[in-house]
Amino acid sequence: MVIELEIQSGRPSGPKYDGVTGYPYMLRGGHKFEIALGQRLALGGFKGPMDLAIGRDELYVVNRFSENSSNVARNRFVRVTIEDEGYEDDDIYAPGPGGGFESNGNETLPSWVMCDIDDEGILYVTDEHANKVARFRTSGEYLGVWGESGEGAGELNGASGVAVDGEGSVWVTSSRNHRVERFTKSGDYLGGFGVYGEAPGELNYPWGLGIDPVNGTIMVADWRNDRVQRFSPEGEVLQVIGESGSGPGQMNRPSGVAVDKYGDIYVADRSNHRGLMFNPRGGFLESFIGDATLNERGMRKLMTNLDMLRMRENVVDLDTEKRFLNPTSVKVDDEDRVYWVDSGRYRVQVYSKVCKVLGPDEIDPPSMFKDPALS
Amino acid sequence: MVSREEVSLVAHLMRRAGFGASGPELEELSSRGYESVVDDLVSPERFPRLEEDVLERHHAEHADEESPRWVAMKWMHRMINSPRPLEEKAALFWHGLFATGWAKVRNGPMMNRQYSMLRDHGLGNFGNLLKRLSRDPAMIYWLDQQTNHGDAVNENYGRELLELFSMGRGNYTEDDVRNCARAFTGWTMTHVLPRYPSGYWPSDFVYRDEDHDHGVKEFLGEEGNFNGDDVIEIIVRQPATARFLGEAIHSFFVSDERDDDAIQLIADAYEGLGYETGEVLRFVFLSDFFRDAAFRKVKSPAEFVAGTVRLSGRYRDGYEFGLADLPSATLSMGQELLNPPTVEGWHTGREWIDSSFLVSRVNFAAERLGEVNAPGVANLVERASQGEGAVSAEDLLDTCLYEMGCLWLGKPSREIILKELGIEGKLCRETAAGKDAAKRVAGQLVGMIASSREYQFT
Repeated sequence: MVIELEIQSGRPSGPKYDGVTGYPYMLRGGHKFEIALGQRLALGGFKGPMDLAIGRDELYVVNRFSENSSNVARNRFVRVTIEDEGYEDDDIYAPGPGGGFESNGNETLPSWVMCDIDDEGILYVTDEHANKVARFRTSGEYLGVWGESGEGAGELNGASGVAVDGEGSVWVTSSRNHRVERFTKSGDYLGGFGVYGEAPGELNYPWGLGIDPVNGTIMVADWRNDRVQRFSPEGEVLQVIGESGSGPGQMNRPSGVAVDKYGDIYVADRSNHRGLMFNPRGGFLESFIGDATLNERGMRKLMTNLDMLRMRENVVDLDTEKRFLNPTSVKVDDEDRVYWVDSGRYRVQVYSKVCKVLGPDEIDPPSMFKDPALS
Repeated sequence: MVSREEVSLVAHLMRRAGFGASGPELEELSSRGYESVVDDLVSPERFPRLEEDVLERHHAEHADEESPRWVAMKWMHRMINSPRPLEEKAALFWHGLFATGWAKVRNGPMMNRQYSMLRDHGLGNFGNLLKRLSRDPAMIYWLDQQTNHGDAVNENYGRELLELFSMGRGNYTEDDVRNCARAFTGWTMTHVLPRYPSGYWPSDFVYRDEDHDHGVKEFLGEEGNFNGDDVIEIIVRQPATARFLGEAIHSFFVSDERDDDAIQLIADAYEGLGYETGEVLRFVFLSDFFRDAAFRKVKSPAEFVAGTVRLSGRYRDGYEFGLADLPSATLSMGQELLNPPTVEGWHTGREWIDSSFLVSRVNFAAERLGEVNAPGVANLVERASQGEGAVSAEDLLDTCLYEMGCLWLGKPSREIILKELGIEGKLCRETAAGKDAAKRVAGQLVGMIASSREYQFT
């Protein structure tokens, strides 16, 4: 089901912007695979990558590795810097044994889920069992936690998605309360929306969040309803995209959602092991199934292990290596890159969008919202 | 009104064909009648599979499915929650019989596939199960079947198929072993990518005709150009196979004490019911020898842990943290799921109990069932202590035993518990304070029962 999107954005309404949606007109040319970042943890790399935050010149990847109550210590951020010929990574927070980490209040954060970064470079990470939001500087300095467990408005129960909007509000998914809550950066409660159900505007165990950079609306991965929904900051439902299934544009437990500056919507269709892309009206455009090639780090690892090299030589079909396994999150940056967190394969697959924005002096845009006559 | 005897019988059935049931569950099941419960147990397709999306979401760090602990965690979760308990119990039975271990296979996705195969087909035709087992990549690698070539036979799988998986030693010759192995030449698995840089991939079965020995083979008195499936067809018809399976089923589902008459009845049922395992188990559960066998087996660690946790009401929701503690607990009791010590599997019965394992078992049960806030325990205590009028500690003990799934205590254990409790006279439940006192005592009793010698048995 698709609800017509009608958002008055406040953007200038000119010939190259759509007057209804506020997004620029453009010619889409698909996506080009750029690089796979990371590898299975071995002297660096990822273990349980769940989400990433995009900093000024680097990425911060949340890694989750909590197996049982006495072994919860390896949640960590990995800082990744993309360079001309590959990438570099290093741990910025790798706590020792004894807990997710020990803060002043002896907080234990066993189950990190998702993260975002604000305009001051502060990282926010959710913990779905502690029901807290922890804050760090990008240096790794721990700044404390906020959030209270509970079932009431403003309380967290299964804290998962987190996104910082343009006004500095921090939106957090309270999954098991079927709500999305809004806080200040320091955790003061500002409001929220959501009620359990499957009708438009209702939520069932939501997960990831994305903020539309153009109009500030909030996209919610409505995980157990197999769809994404767009809400105004006041909680009014504006758009519903997707239905259960594995066909084109259908979803199976979507976990992450992002919107780029052209209004295109990206969905981590986690249990279908793929990514999906929709236009601003919710029309399905493209699937991503993974195209990862061996990065330099991976090659180095293989070159130091003859057994693995020999195993690899005997494999008939290397295509499987390229594919996503349980992609959990998707993020986009200002430079038209799309980052899929390929959780089951210990990597982030990076694509760049090929598109042409129609400038003021170029041809008149095609009408985005009228079907061409069928010939 | 269902009699206590009927409820006790269903409780025995649910401990053996599943992982136990609480008082309220047993009352509901018993109201349908014992035979109807058996019918449902051997017909798992009547019930939906357990939904696991919440479990997988809240253990998202295992998105790679790499860790054998994750497979074991999921399995424990299913033992506790599956609406198809006999499927999980049968998988446990076959896992012990076709013991394949992570220690050598070292591939989580492959171990998961084998477990899933045992669960999906464990109640079906035995011949089909052996055919699937012979195509299972984890088993192929475990017993070096990938090195069994037409021009260089490796007898490992052929030998274990006969000795440990179907007929038992003494029922075949060395020539049969050789020719069995020849029939499986060319049955191998695909190469997979190494685990670096992107993790584990599962292998698939592949048959290489050019590597198969197409010559004539003489096997168990029959002659032909046999392949692996032909050999299995011959194996499943053997009286020795019926007897072998009869022993295995009796030992796992009925009693630690050998009973040759019962074993022969099971063997006859196997032959008479077309080698259909589910139907053989129906026969067993409806037999007198099964009905008379309550508490004649020592619980395996997996049964012990899953049954105890099930009673505590914990881990009914995939969100709950700490599920990985459960495979660790069975390990501390001598049973690491998906990693049996050898191809012979675990030594069962009294061998589950040594001084170290016993301490782990008693501590685990006392801790889990001593947690009065655990939903199952709280409910159990509430039910056990409700009612009007005065109640003796002995009556309360009997009620707790009933609510814990119709358990049983011998006289010495009863005396020790009552003495330890030290309550003179009766507990009055007329007042709120009296009801609270009864609850407190019931809570103590549950913990004491869980620590008893009798709790080790099923």
